Amino acid sequence: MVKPLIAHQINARHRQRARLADPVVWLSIFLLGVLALCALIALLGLVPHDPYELNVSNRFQPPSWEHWLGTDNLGRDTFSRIVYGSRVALYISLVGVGSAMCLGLLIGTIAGYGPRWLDNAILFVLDSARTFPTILLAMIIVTISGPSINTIVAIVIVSTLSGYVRLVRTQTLSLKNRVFIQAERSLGAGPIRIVSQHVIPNILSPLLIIACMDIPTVITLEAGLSFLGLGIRPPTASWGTTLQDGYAFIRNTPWLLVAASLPLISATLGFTFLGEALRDWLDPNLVNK
Amino acid sequence: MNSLLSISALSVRFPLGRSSYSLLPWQADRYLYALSNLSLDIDAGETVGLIGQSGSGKSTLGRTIMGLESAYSGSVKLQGLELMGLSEKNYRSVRRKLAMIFQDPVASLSPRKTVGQLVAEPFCIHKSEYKNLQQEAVRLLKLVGLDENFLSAYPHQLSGGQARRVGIARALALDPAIIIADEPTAGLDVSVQGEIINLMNRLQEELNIAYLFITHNLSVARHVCDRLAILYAGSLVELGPTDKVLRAPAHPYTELLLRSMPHADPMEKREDMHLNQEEMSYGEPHACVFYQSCTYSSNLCRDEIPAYWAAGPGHASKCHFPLGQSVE
Amino acid sequence: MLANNLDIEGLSISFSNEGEELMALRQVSLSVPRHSIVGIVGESGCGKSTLISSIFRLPMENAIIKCGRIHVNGTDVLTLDEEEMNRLRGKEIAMIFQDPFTALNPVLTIGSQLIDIQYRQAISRKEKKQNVIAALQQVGIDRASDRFNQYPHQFSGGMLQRICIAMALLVKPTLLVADEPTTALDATTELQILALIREFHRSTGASVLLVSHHLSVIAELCDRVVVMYAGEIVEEGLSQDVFGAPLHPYTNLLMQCDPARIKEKARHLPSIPGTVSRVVKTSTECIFVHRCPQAVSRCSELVPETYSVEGRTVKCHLISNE
Repeated sequence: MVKPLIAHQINARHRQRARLADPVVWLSIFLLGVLALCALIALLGLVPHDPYELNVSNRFQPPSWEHWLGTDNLGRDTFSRIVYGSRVALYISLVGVGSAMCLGLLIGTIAGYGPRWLDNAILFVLDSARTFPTILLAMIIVTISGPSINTIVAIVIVSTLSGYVRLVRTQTLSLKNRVFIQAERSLGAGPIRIVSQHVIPNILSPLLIIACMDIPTVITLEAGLSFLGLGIRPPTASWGTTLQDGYAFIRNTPWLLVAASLPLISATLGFTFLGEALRDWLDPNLVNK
Repeated sequence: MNSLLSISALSVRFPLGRSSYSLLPWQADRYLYALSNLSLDIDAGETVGLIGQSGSGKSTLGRTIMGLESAYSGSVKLQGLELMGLSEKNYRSVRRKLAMIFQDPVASLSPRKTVGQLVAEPFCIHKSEYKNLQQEAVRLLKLVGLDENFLSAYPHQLSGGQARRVGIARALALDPAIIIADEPTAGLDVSVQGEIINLMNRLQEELNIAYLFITHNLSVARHVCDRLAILYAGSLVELGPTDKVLRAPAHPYTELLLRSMPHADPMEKREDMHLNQEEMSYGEPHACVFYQSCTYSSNLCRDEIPAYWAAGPGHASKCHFPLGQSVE
Repeated sequence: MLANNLDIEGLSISFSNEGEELMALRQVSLSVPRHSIVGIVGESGCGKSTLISSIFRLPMENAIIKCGRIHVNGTDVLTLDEEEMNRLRGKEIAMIFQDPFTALNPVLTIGSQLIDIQYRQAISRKEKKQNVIAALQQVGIDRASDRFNQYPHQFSGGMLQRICIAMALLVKPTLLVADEPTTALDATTELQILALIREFHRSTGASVLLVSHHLSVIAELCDRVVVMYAGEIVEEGLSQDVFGAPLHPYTNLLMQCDPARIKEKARHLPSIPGTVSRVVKTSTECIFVHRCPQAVSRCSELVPETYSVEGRTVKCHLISNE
């Protein structure tokens, strides 16, 4: 005799291809959209106040209709400064992480697919570079080229590159022995074709995900470097400088710190969610049958 | 000597690394001989079955012919052109005439390419004169019995049999003279196996392709192959026309293989066999490769590599005491 | 009930995929009597992996057990909690996998893995080691005490499968499930592994559920055979009956396709055209109708019943005519 049993689910883990209906995707699009909008507004100069306008009598204001996120220790409008700062943040994260990713892809595939001695040489150089503390490295680079936004980009590249190279190299090494790469070789495909057509497309998704999750770290790195005087010089608006001001004047007003962490948190979430959405979206096994 | 592919005295060895007890620099490196002193000719349009168990070196032979593995000594000639020692770059042009079908049908297709891209790829690689890649891809798919709906499919969406057909279509793209098929029916359902075999046979008749059919499955090989080459531990132990080898095996190992073949009547049980455990042999062989497991072995087998003994026209066996010798 | 080691009644499992419900198993009922070897024959997509996973209650993505019961030695597997299930898995049922290379942990020696598996037994480590060596010798591994400290990669596939059987010997299950145990092996090794499984069955009295797509393997070892197609049992009966005179057209075709069964050398080999159809919930036809050469109009109108004929069951309309 057969009696129907209550629907018994065994580990029903729904992993489907990320769709536009997915709230995570929407949230990441929204957050990153706001960030991009801020950068655009800053470029066009459409902020309510001049971010560099000093008004010492008006300092440490809490949020109001006049100053949406209050004012800082010099009476400058925090909202306008943050909007201006988004340019710096986007520039550093996209250019810095983007170039590190491209370089990592190039060096990593050469190390993974090329001859053994080259692999060892590349790893040796990278590992030596990694033993340097980031701050020390930053000071050396700043001493050479002076503090500027491009110096920060260079520091970002140097400090994240070895991670990307390692990731790409390991992936390349494991792909190299897969049957389909052998099959391509047997058809007569050369190394450049194999790497560009068959290795890189399979590495791109893990790389993009790692890169997206690196971006928040890079934005905080900028804040730290600016605080040490190694990055953005004080009058220029950046999230880092605002954040440091927030720490410095936390006894005067908590608003500055709150206001400065808001964009950082939303950018972090935005890029992290984007990374997760990309992971699902780029997985070929989740393509609809 | 007009064979299409002519392999003579081919040896392939892999370094094993020094054993942990011999770190002394003057001690020689140890090698595993995957193939030793193997000679085999394949004519245009014929199917040679390369039979052996895993570890016998049968896949290594295929990979060496394709230039994916380098030979230690010996020669492989394709239409008179020596392949061993060719640079990787020169080998690439040779691969127009040689093609290979790999064992795992789905894993041998690049996972992020569509079937259309995969099938058209050989033309892109060799910068072929074919202008219309799409049209060529459809033509190849039709040849292997798939329609154009498959053009946009990804490998993981295909069944084993369909992926195998795509693999064959890719191999056919550049009109090869010989296809090395490494276990083309492994991993396929019994009901699909026949389709793939029939497809390969049909293509052979239409295009006069030669096959090196690498398999451990004698039941399939006996239907497909004109000649059988039996490989044991890197040595070619028997070579001959399929019917002859199956009816009157001349090497004890072949006899053993035949006994382990499933019977036509499934209710008839195969007798249990006690084969000595396979021991990896290192270094260049100095004895008959099979002497440890052979029921007929004597001291001679342990001391000397046997020569080939002609069991009949085109039928040879590498054994000191070939079976059926007394009969003739 | 206790006459059987395994009883599956009316098991239906579906997978939800993109809002569509696909039936992986439909009303599957089978039993493994005590001290018997039962074989399941089926090709890819027949639902045998789903069946095994549900016996062991292994995780299956998006699977829903619609109805049915699975009893192992009288215990209803589907109502057990996780802890009770773990106890059942380690004690009453054990499994041999298709790929012996991935079934063992590559970074542990085989000895330590075989000792670990006896963690339920309250005996000293020394005794456990003795048990391991005895088991290894029983499955025909020479120099067992030397090989005790070796790692899986130092063994060939056939040897690893022997080690997996030794593992089953140490667990002493009442039911051993062997999932394609010889598919990855050579013909000569296959014979030896089959002989070992038979010996295991004979010496421990355990039942064996052997899953294979290889007809000769099933025929050689099993008392009873179950033929599965697209999530249904299409034919079931004693091995000699089913293989001697198959009643279901699918079984018949499958046997014709086996290259080992074709006596004369043939250039052209038979095959079953078409592919396994995806079974949705509201199917009103026989699952095999699209590939069946003997299909009549009724086959596409009505799902056939399961008919009993002389101790075997067949799910086909053609039987009802006779």
